[in-house]
Order: sequence, then structure tokens, then C-alpha cells
Amino acid sequence: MTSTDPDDLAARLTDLGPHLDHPPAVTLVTDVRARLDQAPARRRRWRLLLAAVLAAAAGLAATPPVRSAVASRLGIGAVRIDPVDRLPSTGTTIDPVAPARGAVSFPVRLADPALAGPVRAVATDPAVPGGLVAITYERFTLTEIAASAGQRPVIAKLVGPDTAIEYLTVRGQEAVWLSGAPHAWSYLDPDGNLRTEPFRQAGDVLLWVDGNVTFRIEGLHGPDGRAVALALAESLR
Amino acid sequence: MDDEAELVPRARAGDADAFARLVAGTRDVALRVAYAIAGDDAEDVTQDAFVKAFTRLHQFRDDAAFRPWMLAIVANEARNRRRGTGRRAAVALRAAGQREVPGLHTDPAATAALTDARDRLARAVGALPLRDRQVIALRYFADLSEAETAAALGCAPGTVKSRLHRALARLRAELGEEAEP
Repeated sequence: MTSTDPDDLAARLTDLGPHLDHPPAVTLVTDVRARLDQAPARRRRWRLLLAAVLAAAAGLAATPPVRSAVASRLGIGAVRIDPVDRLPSTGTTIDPVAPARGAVSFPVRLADPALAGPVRAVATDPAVPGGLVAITYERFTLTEIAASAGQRPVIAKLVGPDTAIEYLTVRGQEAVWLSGAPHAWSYLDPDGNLRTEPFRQAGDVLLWVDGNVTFRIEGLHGPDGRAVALALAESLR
Repeated sequence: MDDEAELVPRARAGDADAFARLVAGTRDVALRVAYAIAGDDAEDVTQDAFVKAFTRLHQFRDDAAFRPWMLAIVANEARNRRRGTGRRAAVALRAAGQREVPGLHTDPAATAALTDARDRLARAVGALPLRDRQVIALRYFADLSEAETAAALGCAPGTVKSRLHRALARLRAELGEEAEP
């Protein structure tokens, strides 16, 4: 007889929720994303768009003065706008990550753009042996550091009692999620001593190692930060 | 998720990437609800429910909360899956063991006892009828309010109260715990 208080049983059920041993479902969001391209919502959108275009065309055909007014606006200032059925080849697009690829000793990996959105900025730190690249997206920063699990650490994170440490897995590799109160971090010198420069502060962060690279996703806060960080981590390619 | 208000209209307009970001935020809690109702089919159920939700986003009202709406679809999908297989009775539920956290002072015996108690409770919930598991999953495992649970189940808040009352009584009997007189 553990307890007979109904409120206590409710509290025990609430406590049980996060500890239920459900399937890990690591590729769930990526799998769903892949299926959405075949889902009806997108086709419906195109149908609506087609209907709107047809309605507009009917309206234009019925009123010639309007059509000529619109036609004369196909072009603005020094730019002429030519409607065509098929676009010509536009050559290669600029890859913002290209300079960083040459600055580090490992293949730079990117989060799935479907989840992460476009890359906003890329920075490298040549002071780190093997290289460090930080890729900033709209909502978070993905940092990749040349250092495997067995090697000497290059960064120390100082974690106070109000920061929670959770051990998780990313692609079957051990991962750590630091959350709650911000923690402090600094670089370590080759002898393992903390550099004397001021400490930097960091918020919720997911850390994991894959091959010879340590990965860090930072900047996702709030109750869903951990789930979003894990989904992004799984999406790296 | 903070930008839910921004992502919902984009997803509704057919932006699959915005929708993927929305569901990434409800992934864990959706799996939890699906698992409590449909056991080891949880992953398939959740995936199907997310895809269905995308096609039904035009039914989602702007003044509603996304999470209860999404979880209602997950719970329905889980229930239908369970019924469809003709297995309306118990599911084998388990609680995961606590992971060791190096450097933190945890008492291994206390941790093991806590895991055992959770596992015992999980098994007892799994032995309950489908209807009871559904209301317990939404109210306690997903931590929805009584009003949100009612909206997700499509019934009155008073009905949620009485369904929970009966479900907890059966759970107590399953655990061998008697209610106070």
C-alpha cells in the first residue's frame, strides 16, 4: 500500500509520463517531413493557386484596358521582366559554407534545411587544432569541433547546481543536454589549463560526438528546446 | 514552441518545413500518448497522426492551442489502430530506468526503487481498458488540463472528471491500493 490519496496517484502518473519507455523514434520528424510532400494539403494549395490564376486571367480577358495597364508594368525602371515558360540554367549558386570547408580537417555537416531553415552566417576558429566551424541558423548555432571522444578536451564547461545535465543519444552515440540556468565555458590550453580570458556564458546546449568531431547545438530554449535540438542533430548530413 | 503562432499559418498554407518544425516540438509528448494507448505501435501511430494533422490543418482554429489539437489526433489514431487490430485490451507498458549521471551524487538503491515504483505503475496503467488509458494519457502523461482533455476527447469537462475518477479507481484496484473511505 504505497498510498491511498487520489491526488498522490495523479502526481505519480504525472511523474511517470516522461519516464515511459516508448520507442525512441529517432527519425520520426524526418520521416514525417518526407511523407508531407505526398500529402493532400500541398496539392490543395496548388489547386487554389491555379483557381486564382484562372479567375485572374478570365478577369483580364474580359477587360482589355486593365490588361494593357498590367502589361505595361512588366518591367520597372532599368529592369525588363520577360515571362517565359522555362527558366534557363543559372549556373552554380553561392555556397556560404564553402570557405569553411577548407579551414577544418573534417567534412562540415549541415542540418536538414527543411527543419533548420537557411544558413545565416559561418565562422571558423583556426586557434582550435583541427579546426572549429560555427554555423548560425535563424534560431540556433551548430558548432563542429575537431576532437573525438578519446582525445584531450579543448573546451571546459562549468556547470552550477541549477543547470540540469541529461544523458541522451544522438544516432546511437552518447549525447549531453545541459539546460536550466546558464553555464560558463572557456577554452583549455594544450596542458589542460583553463585560459585566463573571461569566461563566456551559454544557455541550453546539446553536445555529442560522431567520429572525430564534437557537435554542439546552442540557442534553443523553452520546454521544447531539447526535442527540437535532438531532431536537428538527427538530421545532420 | 515560442513561434507556434507564426508556424501554424505557414504550415496551413502548405509549408511542410514549418509543419515539421511544429511537430518536432510535440514529438516526445505525442509518442508518450501513443505508447500509453497503442503500446509498441506508438511510432507508426504518431507518424500517421502527424501526416493526418498536416492535411487537416484547415480545420484548426486560430484561437485554439496547437498541442491539445495535435494530441487529440494522436489519441484517436492510437485508439483506432488498437481497435483495428482487435486488441482493445491491455498493452505492455514499461518505465525506462534512470540513467547514471557521472559526477552527480545519486543513491543507486534509491534510484532503483524509484524506477521499480514507476515500472509497477506503468504496468498497471497498461492493464486498464482502452478508454481509461486514453483519458489518463491525455490528462497526466501529456499534462493537459481537464478542459483541454475534454476538447481533445470531444466531451464535456464534467465527463472528463467522471471518466478520470473511474479510471483512477480501477488503477488503484489494479495496484492493490484501496481508496480512503
